[in-house]
Amino acid sequence: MIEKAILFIIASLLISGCCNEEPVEAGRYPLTDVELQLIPYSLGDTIRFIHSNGYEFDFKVTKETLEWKKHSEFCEWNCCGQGYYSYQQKTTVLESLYPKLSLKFQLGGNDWYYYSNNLNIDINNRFALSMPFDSLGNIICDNQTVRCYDTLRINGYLFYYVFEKDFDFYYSLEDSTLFMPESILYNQYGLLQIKMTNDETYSLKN
Amino acid sequence: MKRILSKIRTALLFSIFVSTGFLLACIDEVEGTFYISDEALKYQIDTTITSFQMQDNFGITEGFYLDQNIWYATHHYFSQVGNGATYIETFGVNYYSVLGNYSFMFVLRAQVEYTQMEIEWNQTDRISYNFNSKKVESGLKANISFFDSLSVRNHTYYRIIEVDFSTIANQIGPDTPLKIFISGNDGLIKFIRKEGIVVERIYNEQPVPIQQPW
Repeated sequence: MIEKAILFIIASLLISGCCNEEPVEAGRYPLTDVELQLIPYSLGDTIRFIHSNGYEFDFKVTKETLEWKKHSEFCEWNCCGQGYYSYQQKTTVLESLYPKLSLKFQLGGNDWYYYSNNLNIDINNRFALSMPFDSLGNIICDNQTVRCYDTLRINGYLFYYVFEKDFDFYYSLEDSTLFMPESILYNQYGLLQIKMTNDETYSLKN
Repeated sequence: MKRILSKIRTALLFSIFVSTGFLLACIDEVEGTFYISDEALKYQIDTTITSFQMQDNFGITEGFYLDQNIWYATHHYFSQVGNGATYIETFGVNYYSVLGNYSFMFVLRAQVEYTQMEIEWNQTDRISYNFNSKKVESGLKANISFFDSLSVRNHTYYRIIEVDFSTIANQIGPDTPLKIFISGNDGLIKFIRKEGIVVERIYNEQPVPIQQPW
């Protein structure tokens, strides 16, 4: 009899501990068409680049995903029915065999966090930068963190409305005086150039 | 049948007991501190070189920096092994490249009767060389050669180790070089990739500390 009572109490506690509330979607943030156009690459594309000393190589678009993700605040106790928001994330990866570069372009946050209205770019998961854009999908130019040029000649070709942004993060590198990528040039055609700290460049070759 | 099985079981237990005893006796015998041999010490890389640059035959520069995280930060140490009364000396460095995601590890480790050299590229392709037997004893069977000097971009480096994977090219990763040249003092000085691209160290004299006038 006592065993049955104990079992009944445990079962009652377990049942009362169950959560019957569905998580509530508190917000939904899709990427708009103009935002999606900020990454102008399609899976399978090949883009030719040239190093400043003349070596030509190809980037291949090896990944292009557009997916919905969920984010909820950290919760340890009493998380039943906790709200979350959904956001759309686009990820495009360009890879070259030699030099061995992997460029990741992301809209709708990066691999860890959601933050809207930013185009995130990283090289080899080690050097990262973020460029803010407005609701019309225009990269915001403050001429400090993001520098803008009406026209710019790159590798003999004239490009219009070019943005330049320094890298913001250097993963695992404590010495900022090391040789490394310094900034990128970007416009509607995507990545135009990577500038290195020793003035070498990797530029789009038309 | 049961009796036979029982005898086999007894024999197995006895052999385990005896071999464990022998092992313990061996560990007792090797108590002490074991140092990297003088021959191997010639190849101890200068850890004050925390970064360097290399350039390939197309003029593309690559940077390397000394990994100062986790155990790599302590490049030279003694670690306790066995029953706690045995210490072995270890020297190790690990470099990462800035762009190509290369990783290059070089370790000298004292053993009871010899010193072992471990070289690892991209945390996958590893060799372990025994300075006593002069042979690669584990990992990939690369050919190891030692030279007095090698000139790279008009600078002469000394105490050279060449690791040659040419005969086992199909066993190494796509980004592991066919040949790696290491200087005893300066570390990685040259490597040749599978597609024939040669990447060479750009010599950079270490800055001399400024003498104070007082």
